[in-house]
Amino acid sequence: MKKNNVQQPALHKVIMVGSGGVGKSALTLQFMYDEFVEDYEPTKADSYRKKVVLDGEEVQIDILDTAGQEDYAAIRDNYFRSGEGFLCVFSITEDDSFQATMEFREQILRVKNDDNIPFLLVGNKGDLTDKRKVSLNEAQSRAQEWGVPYVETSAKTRDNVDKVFFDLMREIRARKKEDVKGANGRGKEKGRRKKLKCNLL
Amino acid sequence: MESLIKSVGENDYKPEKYVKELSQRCMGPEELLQQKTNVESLGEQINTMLKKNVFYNYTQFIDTAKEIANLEGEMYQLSHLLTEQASLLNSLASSTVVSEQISNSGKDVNGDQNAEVDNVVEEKRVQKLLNIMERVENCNNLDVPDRKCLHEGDLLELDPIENTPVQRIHCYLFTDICIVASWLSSRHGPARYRFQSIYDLCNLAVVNIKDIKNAFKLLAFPETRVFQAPNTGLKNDWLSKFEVAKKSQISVENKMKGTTEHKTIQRADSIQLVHNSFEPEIPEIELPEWLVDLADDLDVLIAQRHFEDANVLISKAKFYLEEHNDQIPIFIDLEIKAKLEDRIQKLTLVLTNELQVSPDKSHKGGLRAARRAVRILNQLDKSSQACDLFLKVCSNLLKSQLQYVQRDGAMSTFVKKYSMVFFGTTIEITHEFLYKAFPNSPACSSAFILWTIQEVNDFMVVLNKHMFVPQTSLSNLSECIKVIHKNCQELCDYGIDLQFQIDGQLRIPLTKSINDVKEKTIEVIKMRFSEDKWKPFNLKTKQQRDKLVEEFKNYGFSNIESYNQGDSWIMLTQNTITFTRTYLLLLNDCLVFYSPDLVNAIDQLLYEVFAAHCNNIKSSIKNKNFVNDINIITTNARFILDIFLSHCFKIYSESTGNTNPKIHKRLKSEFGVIPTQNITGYI
Repeated sequence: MKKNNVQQPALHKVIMVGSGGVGKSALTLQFMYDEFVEDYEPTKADSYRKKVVLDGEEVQIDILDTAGQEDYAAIRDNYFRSGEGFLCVFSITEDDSFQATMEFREQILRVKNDDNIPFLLVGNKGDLTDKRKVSLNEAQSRAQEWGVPYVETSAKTRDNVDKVFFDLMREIRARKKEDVKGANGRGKEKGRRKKLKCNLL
Repeated sequence: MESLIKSVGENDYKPEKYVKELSQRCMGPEELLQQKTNVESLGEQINTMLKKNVFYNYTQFIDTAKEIANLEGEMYQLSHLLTEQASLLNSLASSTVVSEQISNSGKDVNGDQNAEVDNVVEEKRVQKLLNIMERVENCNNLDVPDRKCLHEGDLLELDPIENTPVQRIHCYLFTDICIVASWLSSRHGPARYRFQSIYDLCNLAVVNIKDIKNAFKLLAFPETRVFQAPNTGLKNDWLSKFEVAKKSQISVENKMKGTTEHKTIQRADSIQLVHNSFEPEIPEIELPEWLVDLADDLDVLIAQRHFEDANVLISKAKFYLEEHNDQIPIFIDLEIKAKLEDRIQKLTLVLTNELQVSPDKSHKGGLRAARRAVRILNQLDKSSQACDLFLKVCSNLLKSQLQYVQRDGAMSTFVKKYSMVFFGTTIEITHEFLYKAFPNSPACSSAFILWTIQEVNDFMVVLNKHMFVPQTSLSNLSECIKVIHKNCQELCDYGIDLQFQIDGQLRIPLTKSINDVKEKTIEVIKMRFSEDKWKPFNLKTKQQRDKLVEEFKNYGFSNIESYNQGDSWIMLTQNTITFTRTYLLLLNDCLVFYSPDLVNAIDQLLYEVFAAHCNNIKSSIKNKNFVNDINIITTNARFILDIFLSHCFKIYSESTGNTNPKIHKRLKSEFGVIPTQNITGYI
């Protein structure tokens, strides 16, 4: 990759995770193509790439839309390894999907072995306020506990759709800069990460 | 003639020889001519026969094509069922602990034959692996027990960042690994490859790339490789093969883990059994064997998709339990009942799944395919569930049928086709629903009525969008509405009258259109009067005038000839003629829409347009510029008010049944007296 003399825009790899049917694909498609897809068809694993301007700098975003239905955690591991940032999506109309975010979070931390991995908790289907099952408070307190931002979106009305992707990219970018610094300074700061992992267990 | 047919039809028929013989045999030109006509008529006959044959072949061809299309749909359905079954069997095989023992014992029983077959399979597998090892240079030994080659093919590797082509590669997918090999160029014979990398499926993730055509990527952390398949079908092949490989691998792992668990569970079971058998009051009642095996038998029947048999068995069991209620000890009864209930649930679930609408199922089998599941669900007293699902299938069918109607082209052709397809399909569905799927079920029938209302509303929303675009003429609309009414009438035979629903949906847009047309027409009338010089209409030639007279006679004005003047003149002005035509057209269109909901709008239109014309005549009479033309103005005014007005309202009364229309009276009283009075004033 270093052979590229022509400056390639930075590539940020984002992974959508969450239970089946919470709207991961809908968010992705809304962000990619400005369209809302009403028909539901379970995703296997789809990837998308798009050039965007992030704070005046041209970057590429690579979105991996994973299967909510995947039954086997072992398969999910392989997807998560390649991610630099995660949008953990649940539906505010479905408590089960909110509970499932715990499991996703744990798996991501385990796979990435990193407690500070760029991560956003996203409550989707914000337009369906009359069917809300997960209160704002509940979601916010969980996000606080994890030390991650919480954003409510609606893939249907495009509310906050750009925001979640751009916020995540900013975190990934900040994280990458920090890593470079760390690497230049005194080698990799592995110790910190390891320690955090212990906290989890 | 007979002999002629015979001789021409012979195998060794030679035209020259035949003509020679004929000319020798025939005397004089008459006979020859006779022969000539014979030959010609034979030619004609053959011609028509050929045409008929072609036509016949053609229709047969069409029929066959239709049949094939049907068959294709059914095959698709079948293949879907087969894959479903295959996955079911797989899961069964992987979940039974005893399966291996069974297959082993089966081998023993069937003796060497089975073993031989197994040997052949094993040999083939090994041969295939050896072949691959031979073709791929630097390849490790691939021959591991149970490893099989699942898929292979050429792919183009792309740069993961820039998406530019990098190299041509050949990829092999095995049950547990994936091998990527590069091409070795310029060799004769079969293609050869050089081993490049090997991936363990456990550490591999496959991702479908949506925005590059036919591409997918392999995530083998930290490496990412992007491949492009030659076409979409091949890509999908790869994706599904990968999926199958991963699934089966995981199930193998689970099986290994599961075996121990199963064993403990089994042990627990047997303990329970032992415990039971030691209970003192063991009933002496012998349960019939089939009842003991009920649960297992039902499982088998459901898995083998013998739903009818399963249903029969269920009812038999229910009946038996009812009958021997007091003879069976309560705990056994409860146990059997619980099992039975469980299996009924299972059967219901399978059947409802059958009816479930999903994007990867074909709908070509249509309603016929749903019949079986619906029937059994009905017998299981799950009518309402079945009805719900069936209606969903219907909605889907309707949607997919309507999708095929082309949306471009003229509005009226679209509406006709769309309406035909909608009502045609709805009739089909109605028939299926009321006579085949849910006969004698008032509850389901009312659900069906609700469904039709919903569908017809959706249908009208689509049509309204197409029909009521600006600048649509009333004639166009009336034509369309006529068609819809006609089609809708056909449904009435089934006792379902949707006209009210349709008219309700039409009311608002139609009222608006009527008002628009009214304003436009009044505007046009104003324009015409501003250009009208009140001169008799010169049609230039007699033929032209005759044509006009003929046209007006056809409208029903029998004394139109009395307005003739000279050879080509008519005493009515061009404006009057045009108005008559426009108004008649308007009237006829309005009468098509005529319904209690629209009476006001229509009457208002008819009144205002007519009144606008009369008002303009009135002001022309008062206009000093036309003092000299007062005669012709009167003639025209009389035609409009005396003849044309009553003519129009005769038509109106006949069509609506209203013998004394209010607007007629109103127009008559407002304008009926004016001309004569004012003329006398001016004369």
